[in-house]
Amino acid sequence: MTSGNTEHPTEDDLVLLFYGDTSPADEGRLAAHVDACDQCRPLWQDIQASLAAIDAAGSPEPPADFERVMWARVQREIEGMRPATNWWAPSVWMPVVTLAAVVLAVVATMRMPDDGAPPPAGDTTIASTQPERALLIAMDDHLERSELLLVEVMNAPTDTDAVRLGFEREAADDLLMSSRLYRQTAAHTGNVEFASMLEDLERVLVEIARGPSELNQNDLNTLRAHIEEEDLLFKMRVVTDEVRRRQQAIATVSEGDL
Amino acid sequence: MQLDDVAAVARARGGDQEAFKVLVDRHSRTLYRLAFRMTGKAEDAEDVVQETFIRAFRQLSRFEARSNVSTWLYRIAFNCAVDFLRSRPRRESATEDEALERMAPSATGPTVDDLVYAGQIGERMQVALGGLSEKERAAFLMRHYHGCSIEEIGSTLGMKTNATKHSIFRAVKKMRVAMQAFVAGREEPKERPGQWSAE
Repeated sequence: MTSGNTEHPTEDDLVLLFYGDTSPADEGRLAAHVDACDQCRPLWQDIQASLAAIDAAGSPEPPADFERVMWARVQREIEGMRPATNWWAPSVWMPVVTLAAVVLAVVATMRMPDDGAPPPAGDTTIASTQPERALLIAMDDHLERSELLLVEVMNAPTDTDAVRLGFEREAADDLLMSSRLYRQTAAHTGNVEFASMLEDLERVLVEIARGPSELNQNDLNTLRAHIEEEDLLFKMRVVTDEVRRRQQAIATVSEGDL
Repeated sequence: MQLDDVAAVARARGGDQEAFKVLVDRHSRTLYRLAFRMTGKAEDAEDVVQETFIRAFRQLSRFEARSNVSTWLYRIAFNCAVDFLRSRPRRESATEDEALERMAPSATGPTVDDLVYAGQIGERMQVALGGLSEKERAAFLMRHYHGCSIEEIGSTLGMKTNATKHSIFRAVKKMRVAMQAFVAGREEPKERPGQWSAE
């Protein structure tokens, strides 16, 4: 309440009173005041009557079969979509940690050859088992999703005052934890190039996920400049190619075993 | 037995679409009313409701069991509606001055007797809502129709407590101007079948 005991309440005080947003002490004092004050009572009655008239308007009603139609529309959109994962739930991050550790162990032993040639078919570390191939596929998926996200940011419209990054922020948030795990494991296993690329990626993901949902053109240009300065998309494509080449190598060896 | 909201969310999170359908069936209508008041058009309200459920599906894992599903959906719906209004071309939304001009009572305007129908009040109110800023409108609707606390409104709209209160004050002031024609005669509007019905 902005006025003292003996002063008249403001219109705002009375709005708070109407909605029950005053303290119990203020509520009693205000109610007593408007009851007794000829000057304030008309305003109080007017506020009550105006807001009651709004209630009297009723509500807009959708068609009778609205729920059925809405479900048909929603179902079409969510078909094949999976609810986003809550990365902080142990049931989720424990397998991710395990996955990351094994993937990076595999990747660390690969150590991309300088000449780009496939490894010898008899290399049992690489061509060992199908589970390793599955892990490489998971890594491939992570890199592909990250690349798509960055491409979307790089191609966001430039002819508007502000760009909304609603879904991009969610996607960055989803990718962040797995990216961090891959990067930490890469560092532990001595895969410096891979860890460095993931560190650059992580910085950009943090910038998107923790940044504002709406960027003006200056903010967007700064974000794009960070992606370009790091040559991030190029580095990601190089690593993605390597991961795919390794998958192919494992597949070829597996077929040869049959 | 019908699933309660929290159980439906838990099962939908595991990929059970029928459980998610329970939420759509149960909350579509309320969200439509909210979306209609925010956007002012039936087809826009339907789009907002659809987008609300799609976002809710994507964010199922973020729902905390101790929260209220309705409040969670309201919050998503308000954000969807605000996004929708911002993406709408400028020319479609009346300026505040234009809207206030339209809703202010005039000497040659309809009398109270002409305006007693709920549908007309509803239309008048929708024009008045259109004259509010997005945040004023959202704050007002959340407080007036959905009983959200100042803190909940502030948290949903990203505003501090004082800014939230001032949004509500400004909204009430403008809505009172719009409703003057109905208040002057102190007449209760009659019920009229049609698009608007008692809640």
